[in-house]
Amino acid sequence: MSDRLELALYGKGGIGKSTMSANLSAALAASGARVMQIGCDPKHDSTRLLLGGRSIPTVLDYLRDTPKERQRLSDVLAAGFGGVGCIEAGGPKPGVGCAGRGIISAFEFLERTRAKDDYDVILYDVLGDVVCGGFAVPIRREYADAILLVTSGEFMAIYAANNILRGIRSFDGDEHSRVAGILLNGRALPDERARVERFAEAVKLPIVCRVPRSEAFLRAEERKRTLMELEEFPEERAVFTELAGQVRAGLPLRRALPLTDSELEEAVLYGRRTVSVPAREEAKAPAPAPEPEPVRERAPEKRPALYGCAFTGAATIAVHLTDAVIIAHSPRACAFYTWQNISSTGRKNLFNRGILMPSAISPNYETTEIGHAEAVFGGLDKLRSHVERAMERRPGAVIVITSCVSGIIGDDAEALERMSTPETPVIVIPADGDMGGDYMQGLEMCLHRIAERLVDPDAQTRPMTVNLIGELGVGFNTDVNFRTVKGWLDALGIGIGCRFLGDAGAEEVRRLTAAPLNILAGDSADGRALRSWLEERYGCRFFPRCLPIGFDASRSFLEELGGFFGVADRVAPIVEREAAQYGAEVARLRPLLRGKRLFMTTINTSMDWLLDAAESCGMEFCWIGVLNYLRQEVKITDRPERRSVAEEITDFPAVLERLREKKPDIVLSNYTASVPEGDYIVDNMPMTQPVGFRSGLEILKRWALLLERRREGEWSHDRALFEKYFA
Amino acid sequence: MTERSLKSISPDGITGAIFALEGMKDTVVLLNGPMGCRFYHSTTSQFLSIRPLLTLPAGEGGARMPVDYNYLNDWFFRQERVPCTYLDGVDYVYGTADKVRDALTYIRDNVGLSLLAIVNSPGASLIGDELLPMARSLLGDRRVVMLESCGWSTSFEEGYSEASLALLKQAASPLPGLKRRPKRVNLLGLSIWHRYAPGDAEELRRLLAICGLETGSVLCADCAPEELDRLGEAALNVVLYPELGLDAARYMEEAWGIPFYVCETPPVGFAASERLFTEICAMLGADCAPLLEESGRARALAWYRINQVSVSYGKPRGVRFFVDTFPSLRAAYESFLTGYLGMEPSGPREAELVFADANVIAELMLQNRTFCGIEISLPGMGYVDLVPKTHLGVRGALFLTEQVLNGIMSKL
Repeated sequence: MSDRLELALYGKGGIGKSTMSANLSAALAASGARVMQIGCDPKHDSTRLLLGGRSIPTVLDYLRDTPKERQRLSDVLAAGFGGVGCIEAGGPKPGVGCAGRGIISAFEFLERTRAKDDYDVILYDVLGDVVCGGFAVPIRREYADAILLVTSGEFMAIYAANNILRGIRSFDGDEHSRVAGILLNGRALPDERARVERFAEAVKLPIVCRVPRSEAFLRAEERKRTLMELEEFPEERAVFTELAGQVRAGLPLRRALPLTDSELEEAVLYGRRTVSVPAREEAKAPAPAPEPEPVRERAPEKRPALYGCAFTGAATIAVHLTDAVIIAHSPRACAFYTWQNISSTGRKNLFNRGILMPSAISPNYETTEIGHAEAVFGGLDKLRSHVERAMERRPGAVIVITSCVSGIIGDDAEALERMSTPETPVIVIPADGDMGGDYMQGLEMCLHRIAERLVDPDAQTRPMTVNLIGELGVGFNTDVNFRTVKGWLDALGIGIGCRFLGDAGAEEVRRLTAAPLNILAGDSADGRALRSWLEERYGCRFFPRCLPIGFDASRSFLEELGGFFGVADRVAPIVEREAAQYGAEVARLRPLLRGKRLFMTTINTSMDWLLDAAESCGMEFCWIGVLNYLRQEVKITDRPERRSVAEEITDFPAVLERLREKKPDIVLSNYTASVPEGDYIVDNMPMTQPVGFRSGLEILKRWALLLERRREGEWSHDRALFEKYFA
Repeated sequence: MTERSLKSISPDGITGAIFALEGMKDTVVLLNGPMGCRFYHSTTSQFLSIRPLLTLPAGEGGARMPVDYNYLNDWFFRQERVPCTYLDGVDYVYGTADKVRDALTYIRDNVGLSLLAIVNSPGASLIGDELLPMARSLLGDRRVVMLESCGWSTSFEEGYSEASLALLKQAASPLPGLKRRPKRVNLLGLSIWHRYAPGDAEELRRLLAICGLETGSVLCADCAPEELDRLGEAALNVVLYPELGLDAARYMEEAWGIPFYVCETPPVGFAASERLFTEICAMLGADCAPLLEESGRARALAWYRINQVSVSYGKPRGVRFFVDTFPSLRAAYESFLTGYLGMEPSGPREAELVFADANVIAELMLQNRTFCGIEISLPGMGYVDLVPKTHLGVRGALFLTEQVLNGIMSKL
């Protein structure tokens, strides 16, 4: 434990904290203490009197302008009257950035440079109210040992003092006592003294110092000096000398016992006796007059977790606008995670399949790299420069996606859409990290914004073309599925107008309405929402089927598509060829799989493609557990008779219970933990399946093999060894 | 990372901090942030190295079950590592303490751990909540580390360094009466995030043992929290990568009086490895002759294979290469490839061999370059390693030479 005393002076803005602080520091220094005063107000004038009117570089300006390796404490520390070490934290201009964050950054710098090591007393002069966590940093227990409240007799000043007590109480509860008392800076108001005394009595704090209203302060201000340097005001000097003596002798410390707003009014304005009690003692207090319900500080209901963030969702889809530059207005941290999310599909396809996916391997994705400087002073200028540089490359569009940090500090990124030119629109996606919603909401926000800014509602129709809508941005099978569908469309003589949004240029998106037909990639809730939005907004016509998985769906898809475009004759040979192969496989598998009981856990996605194939081989479905973590309508099957075996699940013990009841032959999951050994085979499958005729059949072939061989592999018995050597 | 025209975004400081802390045994790293911030770390940590399964006690008959058995668990979300507090916009206004308290209570009551680390996401670090006293109070006698802000656009190395310092300052309590052991060495700067982390540590331990030296702790790479209290037993801290380990070494010298040694370059290749062990043996009065003997045998083996390729094809001399990693490691690779193999450094687009992470290698493949990519950092392309591999020490020099020769042959 250090012998150093850290004292924070808090009070309403304009109440005279800086004057009080500077004079107290001077008096402490005059008494022989080694004092440092740290001004924690963006207007950075706390130490002006100590420095003879000289202003010094603020820590935050310095941190912004100086590379970390060149940062030195001596550049921001100045010696004032009596050797008082003077520091100004500084902060942003009003209306931009985050001053509270600035205080945090400044304190981190002071800790890093061990700024306080050479001082006996550290005096923090802190802006007004406790407005946020940043301004509350000095009253954290690791900093202030003692806190003085500066107030006058004005109600708002006392109100602020009470608010500060609330802030202290939230840190200290009943366990700690750190409030030294009240410093009354008199304004010569009527009833002033009595008001402050009533407040002090109500919150059980002493008035440790009464500073009279005096011309001395004005004179000292004019001469840019503290009172300790002026001989002609001995009475006023004595006030601070005495306070300094109290500080050095050790002020008794008390708990923070703030009043409710109505108690404060009663005590201060009307002089009715009120004594503050901590919340848990309230029940013992005499019953007060009926009061309105206190305003809750937090919503009482637990909010559901957001799966992923809108920022990542938006970025993941935006990179598929292939001729755009995507700018993440974010720390490098957020951009890095998103890059990994995007590129994981690219790496996996390259490693597993030898496929090079440009938008997943080398997306046009950049970051403004928001750092502390932008968080404190605002990041709009940096973003603007970044957009300007991107525009010079003449991309099809510049897309800006905002992160939590840019949202919290309030950068008005959307204003930059005014930088758009006819050739290059600037499109801002105000995701604000997850403040704009979860991953899927970000994806939707991005698609809507891009369409709104780019799509020509009256594009000239291009017959014999379709658009593919809503392909998964990071799906492992997205590229494979596209190749399958493109092969079919080529065979039918149908072109692809636009993949919205899967590797399309801005010009293709502009002509979205030119295609007479749109095909939704997947039958998810989000896909359906996108379809409705495009239908409503642009009158887009949608094919009734999504990209098909499994034999029946693929056949229907092609037959109906061929019918729509008048090329049914080209469909027949494809279907006949596939049907012959499929029929032969089913005939071979049926004796092996007939009557086998299938037990399945899955995310909430249509499984009819697999259930159809299983049924054609004579299998039975004993149970389908649906992990419905997005809490959407259950969409496992379109067949009513299959719905009866589906059940929503939330945890694995429920699965184990059903496993015991149902006695399956095959346990299948696309989302499960390890299943205990039993008289069944266990198989996993990827969450997304390739489209086409053979999807279900390939899985069934595998089950037939596993059932026939029943070969587990001896490795599966070695879990105990893992526990022995690695747990 | 090198200045380059490649697009791939380099790993950041929070990632560095999380992987430094995840490298500790019996530790849970709680990310105080939105769920979107944690998937990468959680997945990567789970697959990076062999970790004991985190379990819950609520199984049948008292059996412990993996945490991911609870599908909708609010903090783990079916991933075993790096739980998070799933912050949203309301928390940025009202503070994160409630959610942190809930998560800590759950983790305390359900997951076995010796150390709990809280790392703030960029958004959480803006709002200034004081969480450490609450965490200490909730976790009782278990160690707690809090990283309020490890920089949002800083480098992996800065974040790692900051986290390792926080471990020493917040979680280490040197045991009273601890005696210095004259042959004991701590290793600083290794990370589970390195491409061949388990093999790196194993090789260095092996070589220290050959020299008659004892490996103390490998900070942030399978180091148990209790070991933090015994770090002072080491006679020397060896800093393998200054970007990662130098701050911790300086702190330990100042606080606990442990001298440190900084490798001129990390021990990539024969010469760098021989130099490292010769110098620390000299400092600690140990005998490095057995190691030099082993290195000599390895050099002989390497010569035979290199000579075969050289006689047939004139290579590796003159083969152009590009290395992309943090500076001290890059210097080590470049020194080995130029000095030992006679290769030529070049830009990424001219290189015949590219030493980088899989993102960079894939990006260059997309540009239709004819080259061989050799992974030296994460993310990897997907290859699963079971036999521990390394590019450090004597075995590392052989493995790297093997990869270079095969890379050259595959692109002849």
